Amino acid sequence: MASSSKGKETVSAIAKHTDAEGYEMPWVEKYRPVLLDDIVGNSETVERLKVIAEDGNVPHIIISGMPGIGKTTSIHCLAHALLGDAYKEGVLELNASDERGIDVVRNKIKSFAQRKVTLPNGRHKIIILDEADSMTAGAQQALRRTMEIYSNTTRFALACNMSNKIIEPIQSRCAILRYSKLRDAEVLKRLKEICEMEDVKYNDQGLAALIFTAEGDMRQAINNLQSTYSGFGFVSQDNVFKICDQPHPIILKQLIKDCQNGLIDQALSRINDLWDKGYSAVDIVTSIFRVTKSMDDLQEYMKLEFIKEIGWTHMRILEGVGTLVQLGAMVARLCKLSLPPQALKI
Amino acid sequence: MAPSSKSSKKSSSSSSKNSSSTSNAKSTFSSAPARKMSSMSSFQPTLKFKPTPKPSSNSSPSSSHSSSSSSSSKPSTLTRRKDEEDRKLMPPPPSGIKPKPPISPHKATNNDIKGKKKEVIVIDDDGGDESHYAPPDDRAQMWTELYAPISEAELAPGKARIQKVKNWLHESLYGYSSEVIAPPRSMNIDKIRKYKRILFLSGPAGTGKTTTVRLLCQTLGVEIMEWGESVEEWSLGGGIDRESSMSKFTSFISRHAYPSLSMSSQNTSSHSTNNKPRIILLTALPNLSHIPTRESFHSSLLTFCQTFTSLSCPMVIVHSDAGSGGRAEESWMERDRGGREGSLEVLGRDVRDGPWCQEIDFLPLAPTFLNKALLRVLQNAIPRAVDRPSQATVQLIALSSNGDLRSAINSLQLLCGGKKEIKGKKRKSKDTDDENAGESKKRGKGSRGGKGAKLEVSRDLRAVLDAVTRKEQSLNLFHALGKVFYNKRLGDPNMDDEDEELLDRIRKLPPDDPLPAHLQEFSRRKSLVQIEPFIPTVPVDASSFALWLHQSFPNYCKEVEEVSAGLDELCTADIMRTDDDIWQSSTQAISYALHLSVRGLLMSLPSPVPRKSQKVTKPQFFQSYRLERDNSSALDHVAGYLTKKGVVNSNAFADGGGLTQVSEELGVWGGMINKRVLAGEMVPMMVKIQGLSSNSLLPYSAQTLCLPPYSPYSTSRNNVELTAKDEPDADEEYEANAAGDDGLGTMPDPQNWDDDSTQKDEEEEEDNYLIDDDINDWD
Repeated sequence: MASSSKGKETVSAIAKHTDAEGYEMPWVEKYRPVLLDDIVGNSETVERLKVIAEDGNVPHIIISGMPGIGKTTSIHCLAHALLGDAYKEGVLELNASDERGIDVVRNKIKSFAQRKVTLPNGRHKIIILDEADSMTAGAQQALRRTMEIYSNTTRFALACNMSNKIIEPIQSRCAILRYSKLRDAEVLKRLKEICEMEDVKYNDQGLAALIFTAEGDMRQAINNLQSTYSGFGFVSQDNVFKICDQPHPIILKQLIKDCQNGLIDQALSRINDLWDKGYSAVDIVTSIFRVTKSMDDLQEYMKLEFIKEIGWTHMRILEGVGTLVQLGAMVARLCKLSLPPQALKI
Repeated sequence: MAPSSKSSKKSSSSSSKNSSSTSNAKSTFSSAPARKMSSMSSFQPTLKFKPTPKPSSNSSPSSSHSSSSSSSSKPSTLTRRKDEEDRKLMPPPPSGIKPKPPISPHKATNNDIKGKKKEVIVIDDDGGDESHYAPPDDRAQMWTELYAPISEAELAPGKARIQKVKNWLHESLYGYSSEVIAPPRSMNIDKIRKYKRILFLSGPAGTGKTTTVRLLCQTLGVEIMEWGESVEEWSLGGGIDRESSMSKFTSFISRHAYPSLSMSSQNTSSHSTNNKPRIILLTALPNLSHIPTRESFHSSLLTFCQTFTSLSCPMVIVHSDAGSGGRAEESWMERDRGGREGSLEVLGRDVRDGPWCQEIDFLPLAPTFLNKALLRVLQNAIPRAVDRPSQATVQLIALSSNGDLRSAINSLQLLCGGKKEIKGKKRKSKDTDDENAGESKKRGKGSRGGKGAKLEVSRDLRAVLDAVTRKEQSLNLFHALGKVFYNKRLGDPNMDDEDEELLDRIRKLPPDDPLPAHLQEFSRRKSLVQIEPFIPTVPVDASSFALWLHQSFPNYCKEVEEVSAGLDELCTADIMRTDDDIWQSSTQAISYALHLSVRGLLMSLPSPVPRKSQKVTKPQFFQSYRLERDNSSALDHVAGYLTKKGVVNSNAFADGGGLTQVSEELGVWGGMINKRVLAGEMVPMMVKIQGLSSNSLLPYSAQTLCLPPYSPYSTSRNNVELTAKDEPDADEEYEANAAGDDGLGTMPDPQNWDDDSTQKDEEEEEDNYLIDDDINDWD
């Protein structure tokens, strides 16, 4: 969404962030948007937020969605847009790392809601509750009432991963905005911008790998970009997968193909290779699942059965048996599916 | 009648909606400055009545806070006065400022009727609340409050339900229904009032429960006393001062059950007929999952019910019952979320089944009702019809809000809030504000639809709507379910109505690798359901989706083998989603489960699925789950009862009484055994012994745990299931029978509810069981 014309603004905004002493900041923070205009993805929703930010009468909102898609950033940007210079006094932010038990709701939030702050006309104080789904039910119940009583002076903005972890009375008092996963193109665009600004050398496969590993999570994509850059100085596919510590999807794809064709020896040797490279069983099985899901030419039935087997193995691994034996067994079972039953009889 | 009493009535009733209608009042005020003088004259009496308990602790702080914040934004009194004068001199708002909402006809009449008093309130607020916002207060308030209904006709819930509430209020206050024209003689009034002590309103959030009560009270001239300290006082998380807060509540109830004798009402209290009736309103409940808190809450309610005098006032409990909305069911697994207590947990069995209590269930609002309410809000919020979003937009919001009016209004505010301003800008400074104009052009598309021919909701607006309103909505749920159930595949007959784009995309996919020969039976044509994009559109969580799938999918199968294969897959998916901590917390587990249930069903359903107007029904699971909870709470009660009794008995034994009866021995360890044993062995056994020995062993609350006289299930099931759980129909039937047979459902004398006297009732029931063959199983 951040168009090229906005590029200048972003840079100026960034200047605020950069540390004078030359320490390198995480790029995630350095390039965190401060203007609603700069938020990537969910453009319609953000557009709406912009309009309503101008008006000033924002209802309570809940933004829900997966990690790394700009929920918290949007709320902060909204608060900036609404309050401008009064941001410091007018915003109370509590996230999961702060204590947010019932006492905090009663004391801290309430006293903030009661506080008098000089704000621009028609604007409200904003209480940001990040990761609100981790609040206890009791605290949420207490919040319910506070929201109602102080709604004339204070608005609540909640960010959460699962909106159904928020109790219903609160959901009812808020407008719920659902952020969807970022599209690959949107992540790519932002990554390219950052590469340009940081003068990172890259090739296209490298960026594609970043996007593959991030799965629509902008934060992860940027983090991986930064680590790849600071580790290798160049963003290529291999470097990215090394940094992300994930098995190479192409190898895994070949592995699945082997299983599909019943070539158990080849498949096992591939698994052994991966294991010898030091990947953990969880990493391997997670990636295999991801690859299997996205293989378009796999027959529907095979896909179903594969996913089932991978699921079982994943379950066992999470239960603590993350051994090569489990992986080997999984591969063997996958191969068995496509072997004719007669061939397996003794 | 003293004029002052009249004015007090009016002032407090209008002040109860002070916060909701300040802007109206203000607009009246500024548009008719002449009235100010007359209202000034009645200013004094109002002040006098200020010390009376605020009718609603909810609205009063809010208004005072809006005042505090606004006064802080422009602290100088001088400027304020000046502003006020400016405004009087210059009624039309300056350019660039949002126009005030017009006073709709009914509002105007309302203002005319109560106009005088309202202005009093405004002036009263003047001290701090003289609005400094360029447009009046409507920027500071949420639309839900700003445009709250102000007349009975505007209330969103169904007429019948409102009438029911109204009747109840009337009966509880005056002893006769509001539909009766001639009131009975005053002597008889208490006869009905005695049994109208608690009104329990339940229903999902945002269905207008509290609003209805407040508004009706206002029209009936009833004063509301709300237990407003809930946030501070009620230890929801189980703090240390629980005891004291509960006792505070108890004393609050006992205090307010009678008319206050404060100075303010002194002169009116002499005329008992003029005495303003009052009700107690309870919206926030204590932490009922904490057993001692719940018990003391129940007992204070019971005391409240039992101590009736002609002066005591009724109580209304408003409870957002999360379980009944479509949405809440997704998170049914989280038992500790709170807010999902039923009437049983809230009121306690004694009160709920007693004669004093009436329950009225509010249902999620129908889209047509929502539509009406939203349009009303819009009319008030956006004066110019041109600026309003199109009809279709409103309908979409109404449809997708799942019966929750409050969230629908919130969505509406989010959607339309800034629109007029931008449009205004565009109109005024077309050339200067290029960027904005472009934007508003884009934005305006949807709203312009309202002008001429009703256009479709434009595409980008729809996208916004999607994001704003895409809650866990039934619309999407059924859509998603249908996608699975209809199992559309490439090459189905009747493909005409499919989206060509989608078909193309699927045709372009690489062909499937052929399956090996022995798996040929499983080869399928390409499915039209693209799993990857489909999964995120599932509006409920994986387990609920599986429940829905499970409930209805057999209807779509042709052969029993298909059902079996599908159930196999669902079963696997279920195991993948076990409650194991490590596994459960991983999002991958959920995606495995979803993939498996969706893909598995697609694989096992026939293709094409025969269309014979199958219906998708709500999973029965939720009903059973609720019943199980009810039963387990009844069991808890029995356990508690037995423990108490055991302690009493052992004390008696120590005093030399001796254990002479089996019952007492059972009682001694009743509370310490685990629930399963209690349900499976103790309760049935005690029921039997009770019947034989004509000695009461179980509390009244154990009634639902008792066996049904006869039900077809009973022969095929074992005792554990029979006595405690999973027996929805039978139990309900039984309860109905019990109520009908011995008149428990009607109106027993409160004194009879002690355990000893229920003995008789239970005996009668036990007789039934003894005839029943099932009883032999226990020997």
